[in-house]
Amino acid sequence: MQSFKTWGENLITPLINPSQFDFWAQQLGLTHAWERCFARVVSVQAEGLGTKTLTLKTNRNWDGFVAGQHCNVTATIAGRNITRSYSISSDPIDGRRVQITVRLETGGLMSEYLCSDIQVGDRLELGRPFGEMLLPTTMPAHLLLLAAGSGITPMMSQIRTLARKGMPTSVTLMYWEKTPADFNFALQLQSIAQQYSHFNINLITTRVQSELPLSGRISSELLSQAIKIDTVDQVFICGSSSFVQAATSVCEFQKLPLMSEAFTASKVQAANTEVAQYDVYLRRQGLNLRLSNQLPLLEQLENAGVSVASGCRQGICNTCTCVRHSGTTMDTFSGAVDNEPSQIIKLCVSRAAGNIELDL
Amino acid sequence: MNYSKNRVMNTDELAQFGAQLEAIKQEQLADVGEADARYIRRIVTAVRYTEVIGRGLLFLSFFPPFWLLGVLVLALSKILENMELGHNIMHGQYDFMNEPSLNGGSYEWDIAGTSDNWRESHNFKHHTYTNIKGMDDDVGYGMLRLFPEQRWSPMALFQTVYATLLALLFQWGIAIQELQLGKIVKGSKTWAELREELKPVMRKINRQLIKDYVIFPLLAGPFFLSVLAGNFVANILRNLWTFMIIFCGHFTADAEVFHKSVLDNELPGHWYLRQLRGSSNLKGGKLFHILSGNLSHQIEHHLFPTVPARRYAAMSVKVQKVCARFGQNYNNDHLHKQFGQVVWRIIRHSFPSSPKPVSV
Repeated sequence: MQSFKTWGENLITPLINPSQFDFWAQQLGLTHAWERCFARVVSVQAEGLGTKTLTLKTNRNWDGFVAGQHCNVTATIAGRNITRSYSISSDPIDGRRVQITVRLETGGLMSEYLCSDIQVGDRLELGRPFGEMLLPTTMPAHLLLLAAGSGITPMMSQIRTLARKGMPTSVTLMYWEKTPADFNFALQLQSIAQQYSHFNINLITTRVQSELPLSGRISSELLSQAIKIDTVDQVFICGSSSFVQAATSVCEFQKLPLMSEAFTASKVQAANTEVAQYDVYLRRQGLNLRLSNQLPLLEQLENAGVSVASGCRQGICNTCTCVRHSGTTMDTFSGAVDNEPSQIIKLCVSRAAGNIELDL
Repeated sequence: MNYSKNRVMNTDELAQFGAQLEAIKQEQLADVGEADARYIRRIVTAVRYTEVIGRGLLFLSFFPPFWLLGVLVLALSKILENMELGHNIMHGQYDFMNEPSLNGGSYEWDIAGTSDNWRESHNFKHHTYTNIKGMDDDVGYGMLRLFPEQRWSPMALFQTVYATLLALLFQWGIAIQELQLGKIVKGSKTWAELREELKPVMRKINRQLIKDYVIFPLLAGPFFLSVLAGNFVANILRNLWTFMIIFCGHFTADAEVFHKSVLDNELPGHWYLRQLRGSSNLKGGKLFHILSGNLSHQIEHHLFPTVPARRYAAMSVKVQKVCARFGQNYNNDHLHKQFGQVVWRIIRHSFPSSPKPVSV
C-alpha cells in the first residue's frame, strides 16, 4: 500500500507539484491552491473610527471556524510575508465568506496595510483558526460578554451566531471604547437588541463623557449598574491585556466563572545590552527554558539538551534555521533587533532580546 | 600553494580585512527587501514558463527544429531552476520573505540529488571548510586529483576520462556525493548504513527518472522516443553547464587548497581570506551571471552566501577595492580562460606533481 502510494505520487508530481500548481493558479488569477488557504478581498467597509471590515472569499482549503476563534492572516508587504492574528467577526454559517475587522494602529505595518493600502481583489493567506473562548454546548442561563476595543470582534461572531439561532439564552454585552466614534458594529448590535429583548447592550466610553448612560473603566460598580450580577453564570472577556486583567479581577471578586482572551500589540523592544534572562518556549516540545541574552540561542539550546540540527555555527550554512513564532531576537553580527512574528531566524547567530517562542 | 599574488597580512590587517568585508555584507543585508522579492519571483516565473514551453515544443517534435528548440528551452529552464533558484534559495537568501515555497530549509529542486544532502555537503561542509583537503568533499569530488597537495595514485592517470564522464553525469555525481562511497571501500562505513542513506536518495532519483523518462514521454504518445531523447539531452546540457561553472569556481590555476591545520586557532578574518583564495570569478554579461546562478561571482558568493545573489555584481566592486587595499589577488577572468585552467589542472595532476615550495 505504501509503495502504491509512493508510485501514485511519482506519477502525479512530475506533472505538477504543489508549488507549481499554486503558481499557475495565481497566474490565472485564481485563489486555488494545493493545500494553502488563500483568500481574495471581496469588499472593504468602514466600521468605527479607523476601523475596517474586510470580507474575504477563501479557496476550498478553508475548513471553517467556530465563532470566537482567530486566525493568522498573511499579507505580502514590501516583498515580505507578514503574519498577524485577527479574530473573525462574521458568522461561521457564511462558509467560505469570512470577515475580519481591523483597527488601524499607527506605525503598525499590517494594520496600516489592511486599513489603508489593500484593494478589493488583493490576495491574503489564512492560517488554521484557533482559540478556546468558544460558546459552550450547553448554554448558560445568562452570558455576560465584556469587550474592549478590538475585543468586540470575536464576540461579534458569537452574537451573530446566537442571533441566527434565535438568541437561545440571555446575553448582556458590555463594550468599551475610548470615544463614541470608536464603536464598531453599533447599528448591527442595536438591530439585534431590538429583535431580542433578552439581548442587552451597554456601550461604554472610557475617555469622553457622552450622552451614553455609562462611562468609565471597568469596575464592580459599573457592572452592577448595567446588570444583576447574581443572574450571570458565565463571563467572556476579550480586549487588551490590561483590560483583561482588570476585568478578570473584578469578575473573580464576584466569583463569576470566566473565560478570557487578551490581545497584545507587538512592539519592537530596544536591544538590552545588559545581562538578562528570557523565557524561551519551544512549541513542538512544549518546553520552557530560561536563556541568557549573552550567548547565541543555538549554543544554549544544546547546553539545555535540546537537539537542533546545526552546521557552521557562524550564520553561513542555513542549517539551524527555525521559525520564531513570536518574540524579539537580536542578530549577533549586526546587532539588529527584529520581532516579526513567524519569521525564519538562524539560531546560531540570534540571541534572545525578549521572551520568545520557537518552532522547535 | 601560490602566494606570489597575495601579500602576507599580519594579525591586525587580517582582522581589518575581515571586518571591512563583513561591513559590505551588513550594508547589503540592511537593504534586502522588496526588490529582491520581486527579482526571485520573476525568476520563478521564468523557470515555470520555460519549462512549459520547452516541454510543449518537445511534444511537437514531428518538426525537427521544434525538438532542438525544446531541448534548449528545457535545458535553460533546468539551469535557471538549479542555479539561480534552487541553489540560492537553499542558502536561505530569500528566507526573509517568509514564503513557504521559497524557504531554504524545505525547498526541493529539479535535479537527481536530494536537497537535504545538498544542504549538508554544500551549504555546510563546502561553504564552511572551502577547499580544505579532507573536509570539503568538493575538492575533486572524491575522485579527481586537482591539486598537487592531493596524493597521486595510478588511477589518476585515467582521470581525464572520468572527469569527462563526471561532467556529462554531473547531477548523478552530486546525487551520490554525500553517500561517500569511498568510505565503504575503506571500511569505515557499513553496507547497512549505506542502505539506510540510500532510501531518500533512491526516492528522489526514481522521481526524477520517472518524470523525464516515463511520464512526459508517455504523454507525448507517438513521440515517446523523441521526448525521451529531448529530456535526456536537456539534462546533459544542464550537467555540462553546471560542471563548468562550478569547477571554474574553485579549481582555476590561482585557486588554493588548504591543509586541515589552517583551522587550528583560526584568526578573525581568516575565514574570509580562505573564501577569497579558494574561489575564482567569471567575467561576463548580465544574462551570463543569471544563468550561472550568479556563481560567476563565486568569490562574493563564498564571502556572502546568505546575501541574495543578485547583489553580488554590485558587491564585487567593493570587494575588489578591499582586496586591492590589502594586496590580495582577485581571481577573475573570462569563462574560456578559467575553464582552460581547470582542464589543464585535470590533465596536469593526473600525472605525479608536487606542491611548489611555500614562501611565507
